Amino acid sequence: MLAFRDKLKNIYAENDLYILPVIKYAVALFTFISINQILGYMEPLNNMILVLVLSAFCAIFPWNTIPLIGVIMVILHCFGLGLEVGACAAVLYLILLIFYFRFVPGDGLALTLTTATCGAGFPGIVPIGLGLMRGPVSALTAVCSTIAWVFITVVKEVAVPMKFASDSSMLDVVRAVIEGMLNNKMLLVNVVTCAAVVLIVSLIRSSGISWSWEIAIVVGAIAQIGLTLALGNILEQKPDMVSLLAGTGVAALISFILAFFVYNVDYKGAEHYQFEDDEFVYYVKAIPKNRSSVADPAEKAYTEEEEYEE
Amino acid sequence: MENEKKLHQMIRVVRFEQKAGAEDLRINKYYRRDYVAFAMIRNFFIVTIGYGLLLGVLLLYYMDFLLNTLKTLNIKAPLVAIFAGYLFVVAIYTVLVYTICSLRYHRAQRRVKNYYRELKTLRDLQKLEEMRAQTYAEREQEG
Repeated sequence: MLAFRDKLKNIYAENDLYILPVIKYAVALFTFISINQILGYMEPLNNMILVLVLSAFCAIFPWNTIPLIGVIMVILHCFGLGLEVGACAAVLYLILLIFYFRFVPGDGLALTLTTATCGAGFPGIVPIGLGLMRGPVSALTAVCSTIAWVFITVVKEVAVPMKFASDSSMLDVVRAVIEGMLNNKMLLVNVVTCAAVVLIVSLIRSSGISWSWEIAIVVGAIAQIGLTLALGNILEQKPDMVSLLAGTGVAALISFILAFFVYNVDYKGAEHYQFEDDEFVYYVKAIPKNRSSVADPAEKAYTEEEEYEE
Repeated sequence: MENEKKLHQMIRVVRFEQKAGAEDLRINKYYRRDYVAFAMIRNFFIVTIGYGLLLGVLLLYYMDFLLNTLKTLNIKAPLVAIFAGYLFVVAIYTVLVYTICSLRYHRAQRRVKNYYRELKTLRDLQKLEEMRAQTYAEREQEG
């Protein structure tokens, strides 16, 4: 297992120039396809070639390009439904940006990933992932991301029927959307559940106990199911049991894979620098050294031998 | 060997300049007071826009209540509530931005101090190399 882990580390360290863009491309593609499937009211954005080009664009730019394009896509889809719905979406994302996301630009990806994963039926992935990789403060990220997701469901449930009924004015639609957000009991259930899951997972993960991240994922998944059911019961909201169980199960599985790569492999990519002195121009590729911290003597001997060879 | 040492030192310096240090060096150009004040002024305008948007959304939702209040000409209480809410939000975000920017400035300053130390080591290595080259040249001339 440790040999496999070191092999993975070395493969990543030496080929991150190609692996990272592929991962970014896959995440961007999943996000954009999900957004198009959930909303899809702006016809030109549903073009698969455009989605592929946008994903390729995200692959070569920093991670935050994905939420930026994702949010623009959501707003444009809402504009495709109606001017007033688009304006509501733009105002909501602007409020989220001003009051929260400008302080944690690194969490921007969670905003669009929540929309994509909730749309795909796995709402637990982002809260568990945030709890594993970020601190307890990310509970606020989960709350804001869930608000954005619930807005999309409100648009689908409230604004779409009103737009098709010809007797609704723009003001009626806007007020219905705001009312749908403010009086939404499911929003409360989702917000409290996500925030609690992030807090529980991050607390267990940072507790220092053995198998902390595995326990954190399992407890996080149980908390996701338990809190959704309990709060749903209190607020008289009945979540779909099958999709809740299946979605949380898949979310836990994906979180295990994520945790394996983040904590076990603890990958660090090669770094590339270019600089010069009076005589030369240097092109440096710095590959991080990987060392296993193993207790097993056989594995330890293997590591020492490797280091000696270096 | 000395050249290798110098090369390693150069990489250490460049790592800072081209990766995490770029932002630190930008922050370090300001005095702490200027950096925090600039961030707080910018925050004031951003929060004002945000509060305006939030207020607009709520006014749309409570439009009936607002129209009834306007009819009774009893608008003092809602206006006071709106202004008090604005002051509360601005105060919270001002404290938040002040704390975040002060912490960010102190951390950047600490890292830049380390960077200058690395830079000094590099300069010393460069000087050493030059002195050696000079000594070597003088010996060549003598011999």
